[in-house]
Amino acid sequence: MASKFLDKLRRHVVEIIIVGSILAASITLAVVLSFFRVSSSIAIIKHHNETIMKVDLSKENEERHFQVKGDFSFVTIAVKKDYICIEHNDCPSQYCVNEGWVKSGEKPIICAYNGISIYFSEDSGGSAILG
Amino acid sequence: MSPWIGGLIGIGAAILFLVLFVLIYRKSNMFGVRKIVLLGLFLALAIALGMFESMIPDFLVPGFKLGLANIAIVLLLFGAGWKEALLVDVLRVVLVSLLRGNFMTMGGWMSFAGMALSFLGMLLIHLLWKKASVIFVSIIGALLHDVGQIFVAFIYMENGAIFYYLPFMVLVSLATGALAGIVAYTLLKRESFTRLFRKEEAD
Repeated sequence: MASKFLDKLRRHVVEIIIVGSILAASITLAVVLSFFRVSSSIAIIKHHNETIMKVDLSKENEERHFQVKGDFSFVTIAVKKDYICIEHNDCPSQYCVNEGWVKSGEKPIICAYNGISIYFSEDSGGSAILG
Repeated sequence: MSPWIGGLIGIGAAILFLVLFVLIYRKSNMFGVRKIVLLGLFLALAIALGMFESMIPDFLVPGFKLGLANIAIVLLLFGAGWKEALLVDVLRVVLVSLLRGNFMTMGGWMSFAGMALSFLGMLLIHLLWKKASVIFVSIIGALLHDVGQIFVAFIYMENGAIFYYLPFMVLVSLATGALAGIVAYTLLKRESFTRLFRKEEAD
């Protein structure tokens, strides 16, 4: 039985190598992205390619809420010291809301339904902090 | 994207689909009663599986899907042929997006792009590499489905932040593609199942 199994594996060596390579590459990238942190505390809120707002989370002393206009509805964003989240959104999947509070420099929050993205960038462009 | 451009793209896609349909199927012998019934059954299966998996929430990555509907497509690709699989795949995506109410919306376009890239990849591997296994073809289909969706989302969002999710979606698609491939492989091994596709079987 073992020899039959090894025989089968030998016939599909190329496939195993291809899938194994993709698996290894994606695991590596996933681990790097999970632990990678941008040192900036500035959250950039964009609607498609247009920057709506930049918020310096290190200067937020109290929790505050504001709305930005998306493609289909308004998106409520909450910020507090070093954290940001999408608090309320009318999108069907609610994945962006379920992400919860995201710490400065961590992963982006994307709402593809409304075209809203929140991410951290070291290159804040020196623009004035709005909002 | 302006509604006019979206509408023009939609009309263009519909015309392209009709032209391709005529070119691919004009000399086909696909439309006997038995074949129509078989394709109808597989279409119903693919729609049912697609609707079922859409009820499962995105809990690992955005757009997470088990890829159950792809089982029907892989079965047709290996059992009946690529034209049959293509027809059912396109109809499945259109009907599921109509049922879910996201036809001609970003969600619908993402599904269509995922389907198109996935089917193209599976077809190329199946035609060019005869020794490719069912499970491998299914994995590649699942992988390309997610890649296609990410690219449509990137074009729609007009910024690259969405690519953050790509490695996680690839990991999930490798697992779901393997799962769907194992189910399809198990069914295709059974003579009682592959008998469905034989032309000489009487009703």
